[in-house]
Amino acid sequence: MASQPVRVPDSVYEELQNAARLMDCTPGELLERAWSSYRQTPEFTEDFTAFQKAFAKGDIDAVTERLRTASAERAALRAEKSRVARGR
Amino acid sequence: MQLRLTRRALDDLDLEVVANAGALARDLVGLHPLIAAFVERRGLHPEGQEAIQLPVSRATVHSLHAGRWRGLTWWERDEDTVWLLGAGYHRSGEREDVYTVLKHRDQADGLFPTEQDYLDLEADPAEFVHRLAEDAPRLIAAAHADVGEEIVGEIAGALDVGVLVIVIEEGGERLQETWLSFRMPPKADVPPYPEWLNAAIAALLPEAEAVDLEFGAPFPRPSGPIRNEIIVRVAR
Repeated sequence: MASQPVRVPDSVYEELQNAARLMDCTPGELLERAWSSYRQTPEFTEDFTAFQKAFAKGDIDAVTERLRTASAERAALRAEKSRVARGR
Repeated sequence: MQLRLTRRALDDLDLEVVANAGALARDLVGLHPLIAAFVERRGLHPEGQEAIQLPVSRATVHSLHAGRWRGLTWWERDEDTVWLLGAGYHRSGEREDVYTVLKHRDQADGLFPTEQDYLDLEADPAEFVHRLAEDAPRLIAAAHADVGEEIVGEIAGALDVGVLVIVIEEGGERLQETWLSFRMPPKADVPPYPEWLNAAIAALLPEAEAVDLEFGAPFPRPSGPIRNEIIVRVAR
């Protein structure tokens, strides 16, 4: 049965659309591309194992926090890329 | 092209920082005349007429005017985003003059978007994880209850996933294969963060070892493959 989709704020969704446009693809294709490269990395295995353990313990917050950490790392990379481009 | 404000700019304009962080500038136009000018002018062209030289950063920023208010904007070309970096009153020759203040910020490396500003553009995973924790066990239980049939269900109302459990018994040996098929693109706004997909696989395959996961094999359904599906297989 269909349920209410997970909500992503418009401001975030626009960011995704923008990123996809810059890569000349759709947000879905962006996910596929990101997935293909991510699953070749050691982080994939580490994350998978950590997610499994957290779900097994019912520790939903641990899963959320790990995903937030990944977001923070992405944000840090973008900030660093921006700093380098500005010669800082 | 997107128009956004840094947290420092929100603070300069005396706006609620946490509540408005990450918002699109067009959603804030009613809050301040400088934001209205930002959206109107930079929405037409990402760079202004009046370029300002910064003391340290090698970036071209432009002045933006609205009454007594002045701001500096920067077009981050790689991200195709124009940022309002900071704002204040123009007081020619005074220490509090906005351009003097913002140049000092540049010297202190506090003018341009910070990690937090970029983090404000990311989706929070809390709701997705909560829904995943509810949906995944239900879906995998349904597949185990109907061995040999692909059961298609939803994760968080956004990802359609097919789950197929196959049991093979041969010479007293019992092999169980579990197949997952994530339909792409997602039918709702799932961000392109691959870690979210990984969390979904972990929730659906609680006993699998990461090294046993196989990707890309053809899903064994009579009707054949589905375009762009992401397939995971695990056997034990």
